[in-house]
Amino acid sequence: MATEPVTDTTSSTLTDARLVQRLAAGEVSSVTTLYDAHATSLFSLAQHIVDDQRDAEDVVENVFRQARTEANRFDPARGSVGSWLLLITRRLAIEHVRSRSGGQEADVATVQLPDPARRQQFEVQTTDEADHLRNALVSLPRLQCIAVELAYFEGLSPSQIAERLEHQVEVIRDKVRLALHALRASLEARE
Amino acid sequence: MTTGSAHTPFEGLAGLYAVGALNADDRRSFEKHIELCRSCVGEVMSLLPVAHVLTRAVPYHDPPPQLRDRVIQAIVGVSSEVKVNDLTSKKSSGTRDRPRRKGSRAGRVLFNLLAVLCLVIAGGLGWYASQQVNLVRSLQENLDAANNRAVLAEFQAATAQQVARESRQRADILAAEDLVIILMESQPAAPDARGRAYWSTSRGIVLTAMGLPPVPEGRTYHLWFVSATNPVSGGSLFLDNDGRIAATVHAPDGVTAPVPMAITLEPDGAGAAPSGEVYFLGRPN
Repeated sequence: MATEPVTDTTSSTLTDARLVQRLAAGEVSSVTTLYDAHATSLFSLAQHIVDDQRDAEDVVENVFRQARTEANRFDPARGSVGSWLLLITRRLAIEHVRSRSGGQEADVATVQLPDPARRQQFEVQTTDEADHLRNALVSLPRLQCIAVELAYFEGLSPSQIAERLEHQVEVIRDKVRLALHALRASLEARE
Repeated sequence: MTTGSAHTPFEGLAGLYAVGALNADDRRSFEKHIELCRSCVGEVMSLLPVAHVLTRAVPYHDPPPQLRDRVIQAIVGVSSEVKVNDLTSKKSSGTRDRPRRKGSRAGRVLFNLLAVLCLVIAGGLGWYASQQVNLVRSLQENLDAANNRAVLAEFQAATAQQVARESRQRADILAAEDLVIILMESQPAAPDARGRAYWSTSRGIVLTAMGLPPVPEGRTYHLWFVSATNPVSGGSLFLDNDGRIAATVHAPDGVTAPVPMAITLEPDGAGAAPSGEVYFLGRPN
């Protein structure tokens, strides 16, 4: 997979902002630039969540549609365009899974992430770092890893995860928390 | 910062909130809680970037080659292939039509006018349908965008309000006429740590500490009021990002004057009686 040009420099944020503006205007070159830079990561995330190639393709197409209509919401100060597209991908992929399974259940998670604070970013610069994070995730104790997978990639609520894994809700809360702190420590250790 | 009893129901929710895994009810409750709980705000803020990076922690799959053109076509409207086909089609049909059929000029004019009229009506209906679809989509997207903006605004407002509220509360306590300053003496577990308690019986207690070691997983610093009978829990204390404690707490029921205090390291969820190592002891003069 090609290394994705995700950096935190002023020039790249300006480029991101311009690209998104041009995407809103429907310029072909902006679509191709964004697609070529981010399609693999978007498709990988979509495929991971929906577990079906055709559905993942639908999700990626809808991500670009959504990005075009939500272009005014993109703020380069909060993160790169890659991160922004990935968050849209996650939301749409989980919604896709829910609609495929017969609609939204009462207790599902909201799948709305508050944006991170300004200047408090963990942008992944290279595929090496993405690999590092993935390794950190799969190296977590099994229950922690599965709890995070279900919470983050399937959009399940703590009670749904608890039911599926046959543990108490409090245990699930604790495992997700421990896992996220471990991942944060892993990222910081690499800096 | 809330005390332990108020914080306990929300223990562990910061991580789930950060990964967007709370249902609507829990999310609302937690957002209400973080208006008052600085430690939860700090934890959410520290974990949000992790949650965002998680989007990349998946196995790689290359998208199929045809997806590129499909996406471009979806966004731009017409792909380059379609344009070429259209041109080819028009060109060939023009060639076929070159030997014109015979007929009156008036008939041809009438036929052309009708054709144009049909096209205008069809185009108008198509345009109207397209506008309606776009309008509905735009409304849905604006609603979604507004919801997301509201969530972020609520979070930021809650944080700001909480900081302002805490600052006012601390200023009130520090300005109280009945203020008593208690030096919190560091213990061998953290000999370089420093702390003070500013105790106003009428307004509350401000506790500050720095130099404490990071908290191991599964443990929390805990405040105790050492009354004449038994130590009484003053709740959990959380280090901020700089390793400091700045908390506003209240004396337990029945304690009407400054009493000795202790800070210990306890297992998460503990609270009935101190069992861990002592880090600070403070005695009013």
